[in-house]
Amino acid sequence: MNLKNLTKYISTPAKIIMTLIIFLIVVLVIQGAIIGTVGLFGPPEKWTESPQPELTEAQKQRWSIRDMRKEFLPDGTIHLIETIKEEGKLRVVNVYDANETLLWDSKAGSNPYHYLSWAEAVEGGINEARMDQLQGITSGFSRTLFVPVINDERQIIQRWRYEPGADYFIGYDWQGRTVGYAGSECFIEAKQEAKPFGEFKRVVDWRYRDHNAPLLLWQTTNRLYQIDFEKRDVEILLDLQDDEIEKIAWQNWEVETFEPDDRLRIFIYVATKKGAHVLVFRDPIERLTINVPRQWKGRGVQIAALQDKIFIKHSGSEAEPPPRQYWLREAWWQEHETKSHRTWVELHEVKQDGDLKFINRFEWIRPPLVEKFTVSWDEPDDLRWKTRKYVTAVSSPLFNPVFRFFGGDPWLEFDFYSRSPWYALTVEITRDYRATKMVLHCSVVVLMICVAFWHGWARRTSWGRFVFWLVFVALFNLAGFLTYLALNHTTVIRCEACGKKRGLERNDCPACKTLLPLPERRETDLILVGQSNS
Amino acid sequence: MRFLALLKKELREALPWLLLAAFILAFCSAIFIGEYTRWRRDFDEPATMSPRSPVRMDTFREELQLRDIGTLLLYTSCGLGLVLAVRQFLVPSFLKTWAFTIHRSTSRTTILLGKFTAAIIALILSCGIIWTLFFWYASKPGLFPMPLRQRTFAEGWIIITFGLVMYFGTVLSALSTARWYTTKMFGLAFAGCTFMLLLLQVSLALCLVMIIISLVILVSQIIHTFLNREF
Repeated sequence: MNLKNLTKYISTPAKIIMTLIIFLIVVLVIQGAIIGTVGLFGPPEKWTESPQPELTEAQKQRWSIRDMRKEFLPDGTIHLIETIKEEGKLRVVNVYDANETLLWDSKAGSNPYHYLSWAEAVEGGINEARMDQLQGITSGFSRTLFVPVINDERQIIQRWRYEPGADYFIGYDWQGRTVGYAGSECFIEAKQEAKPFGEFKRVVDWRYRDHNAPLLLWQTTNRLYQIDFEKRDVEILLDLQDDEIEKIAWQNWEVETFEPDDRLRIFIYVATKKGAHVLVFRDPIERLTINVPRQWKGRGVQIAALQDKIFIKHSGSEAEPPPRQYWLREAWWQEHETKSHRTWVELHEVKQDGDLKFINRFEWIRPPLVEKFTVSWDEPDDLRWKTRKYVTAVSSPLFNPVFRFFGGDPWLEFDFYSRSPWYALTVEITRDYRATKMVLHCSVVVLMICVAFWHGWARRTSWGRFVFWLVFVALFNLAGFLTYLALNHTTVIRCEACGKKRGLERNDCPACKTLLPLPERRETDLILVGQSNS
Repeated sequence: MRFLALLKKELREALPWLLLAAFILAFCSAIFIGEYTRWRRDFDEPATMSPRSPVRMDTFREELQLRDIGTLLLYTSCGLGLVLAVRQFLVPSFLKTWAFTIHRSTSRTTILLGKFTAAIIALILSCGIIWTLFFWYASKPGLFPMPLRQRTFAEGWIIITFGLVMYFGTVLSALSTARWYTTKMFGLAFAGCTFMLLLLQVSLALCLVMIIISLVILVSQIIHTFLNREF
């Protein structure tokens, strides 16, 4: 097989792939432009709020209890706090006891009761997705983090740069000379001994109060580090081995930056994927695993630590959480949100061995959401929605299964941007451009197949090729049809024998098998010797 | 020997563009690096921390000393790829000299190989060598606050390779017998699509795989078209 024949087998699929990619992008761009134009120049979006049902006094009472904040005093007493008015920083509240007896009403800031303060979730900094973005290959090259070490005169004396591939920091002095490596074990001078931190998840930072040298809380899949570049110290705060970190909250940990509240202990709370709840205390570093009942869910758990006592608050409910799959949401709403649910909040004290001691519990009936909210499952009567529905009728039918496979329910999860850029792009395209008006969509697909059939019938060269192109058009809809047309459109003539249309890609007529006529041999037709009809 | 003769001819024709690209890249890189070192000598030695607090991690992002050079490298390699493809494949169509080239006593494969080799050599000489020399110079301790990363070097070469994708895209468009308003420009459009998809990449290996796939898609069509079409 020579090069000429070999390239035929590669170039044909290559041409199909190339043309399909271009037409898919062209169709997406045109769809986006139409939807965008309607959004820009169309009538303003209509927000028609469904009429909300009028509540009875009993219902109002139930809703009032539901909406109140439930706070605990250090002795376990529960208070219900109702916000009466909120304007900017001014917040007027009513404080009730568990029997709904009014204890106090005034501005929130002057409340005489000091409630337990719960550790706050660690947020901000740079997460996995942001780190990936920095690593993106652009014309300005990828970037990474560097952490400056700053002296008393506010001069950068060292720079520690994170190397994402090697997964450790390399330190340079102000002249650019290497001064050491910071990996999972410690600061070292030899590159060979530098160990990676582990799969990066998040880093947050704070600084020393009197100058700007930063400290890092470095989170990997199963480890938590504290890195102090000024003191050249890498400390493993927590190593979960075969478990993974799910959630982190902290209290007072950034003592170097802020004046800490002396009543509170300094700690980090970690909930793991396998359901463990671990506290890491500071000065000295101590770890405590809390023996939490298996049925508790991580999201409903909060921790407060005073100097002498540790408390855990658990919020629970009989209600089922909304399903991940968006197409099950309506059924879930009908099943669960038309009923009342028993809901509770419990306070436990965490003993030194990690066991729990029950302190107090407050239980109330959460009213059914349908009492107060009317949710319309009908599609909105808006020009944008209608345009989108009609425009996406020409999208590929593959978008729907791809969206279900990759997307799940991004409206609920909001996490697809934290995945790879490819994942985010796939989810966004299939979410925004998948067909929603299925009858119209199927009609367009059938129409495309019919037109391709009509066009290809006279031009068919083999049955396999003909069927392939029909399936191709069915799979990619308009983009598939345009690809088919771009690669298969040839001139047709009428067969001299049967009078039917035929293409010029094959020698015989697909209808009557008559060969293409050759020109009559003439005196000067020397180049056709051996190919004439005679 | 015939291949070498063809290669010399192609390189001779590419020489002005090759030198121009090398000059632009070297001259502008020297200006950028000179500006940066002067700025750093005046304001940043040893670097003074800006008065704002580094408490937010965003301020720790690496300085982009090379941003301008990366953009320049992209434009130069793409521009050179485009110009070489036009010079090698479109100009003979306008001048109607294809018949002379094709009917020499060399195969079409050799002619095509000669043109491709010349384009690759031109890109390596004008962009690759300059980039490598620049990187070697810039990696010397003391020039930048931190030595450049090896990954940056590899990324520079990926940008140069993208110039090759642009070259092959243009060649395919130039060789296509379709009308310009139908599928003639699809080669170039595909090179553009490849660039957009490259911007989604984080991994260098994936980038390389994507470029190789693009090159296979383009080169296979070019060979098939060149060996089969009539000039």
